[in-house]
Amino acid sequence: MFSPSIRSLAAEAGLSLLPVLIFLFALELIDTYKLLTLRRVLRTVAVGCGVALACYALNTAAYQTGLVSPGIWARSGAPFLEEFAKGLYIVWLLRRNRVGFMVDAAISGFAVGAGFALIENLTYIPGLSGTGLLTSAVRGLGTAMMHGGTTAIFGIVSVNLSEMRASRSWLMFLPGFAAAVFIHGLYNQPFWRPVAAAVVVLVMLPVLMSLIFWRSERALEKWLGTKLDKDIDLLQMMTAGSFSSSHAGRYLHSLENTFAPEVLGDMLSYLQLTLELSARAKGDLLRREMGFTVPPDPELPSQLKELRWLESQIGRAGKLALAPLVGHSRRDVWELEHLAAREASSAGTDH
Amino acid sequence: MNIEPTKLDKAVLLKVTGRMDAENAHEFEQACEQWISQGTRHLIAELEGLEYVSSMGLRSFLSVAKKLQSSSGSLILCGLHGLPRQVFEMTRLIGVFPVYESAQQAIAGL
Repeated sequence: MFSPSIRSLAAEAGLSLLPVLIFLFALELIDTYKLLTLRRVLRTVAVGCGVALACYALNTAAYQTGLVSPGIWARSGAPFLEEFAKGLYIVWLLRRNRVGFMVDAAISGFAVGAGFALIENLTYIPGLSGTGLLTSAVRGLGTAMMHGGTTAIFGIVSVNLSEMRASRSWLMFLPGFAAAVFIHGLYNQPFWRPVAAAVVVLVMLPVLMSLIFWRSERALEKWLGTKLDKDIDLLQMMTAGSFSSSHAGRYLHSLENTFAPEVLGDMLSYLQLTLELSARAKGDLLRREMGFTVPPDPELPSQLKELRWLESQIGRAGKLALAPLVGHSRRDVWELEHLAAREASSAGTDH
Repeated sequence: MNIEPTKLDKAVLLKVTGRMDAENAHEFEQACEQWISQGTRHLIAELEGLEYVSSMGLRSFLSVAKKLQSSSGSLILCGLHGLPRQVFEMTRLIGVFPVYESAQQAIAGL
């Protein structure tokens, strides 16, 4: 049915990509907290495919201008363009608080890279004809791991920096981007024998990713414990009636002259609901950490709807005033987004 | 925190009193693991006297429940009330365990 050359191309592409996809789903499996659903991972791979097609068109256009030789473009222009394009999706995830930790940043980055490599290898492998099935498969695998790895590194460095500096500035993306472009550019240098470059990537990347996973899971465990205890203490004070005499209660009283009474009432409701949802989001993470499944909660959609409504009532000023109590760091916002995304996923709708 | 075990026919009853926090939650886990290693399949945690449970305490309960689940056993909670009950409800972790009002009801349910 298919000509031998097409069969050979398919075999080489399959051989080079299968281990990458296995590695990607292994990452998903060892993620104790199951931060990403399989559906989202697959969607991210698809995004990577789309990015690769866009870059293919742009790279071709760059060659056709004749201003730069293909060799120079491959070593300098292409790494910049491709890392920028792949990184855009990670930037979007971070800005929308869809990523909370290094683990989900790493998986998302790797998935974009794997999708990118899927398309790139299909266009790149035919050029390797005559090198043998195994050689082209190793080169294809090395390229795929490099693409996954650089975008994962971009995500990891960006998440880590924005968390450490408690900043949402665009500058937080620059070091990760520089690292990704540097590694990609180095990989494309002619002094490497392609197979040697592939082997270096194949050895280094799993070690690096394992270390990151280990560190990130410890950080998540620590954050989960500390924040859950804080949420519980504050909620218990609110429900036990001792809130007004607490530090948090006195702080809210101090806002009486700043906000209208009905807004202040909504702020109190917002605080309680945020803490409740926050505590249950962490409860869900604990369940997954221990290997239990999390059943859907029929009350959650209405609670999330109520939260959005309260948000619109208290406005930006009200949210800022409550920030010292509920926390507005990226992770604090992420856990509510995570809860909503899980709910949308179990309801079969997209988020 | 104090843990007082009583061996029953089909289970072991662990009466837990005091505060279960980051400092001592592992003691509950160790006590349970000791009984599990001796072949106990059902553990009943009597929590009437439990005054406080932190996130580490919740982790310990979940960890023991998971171990028992793998041997077709269960960690049963009873007498859960006040603030610890609120914590289990807020985090929705109460759904993971069979919960009874009293130890007698839990034993009868086995």
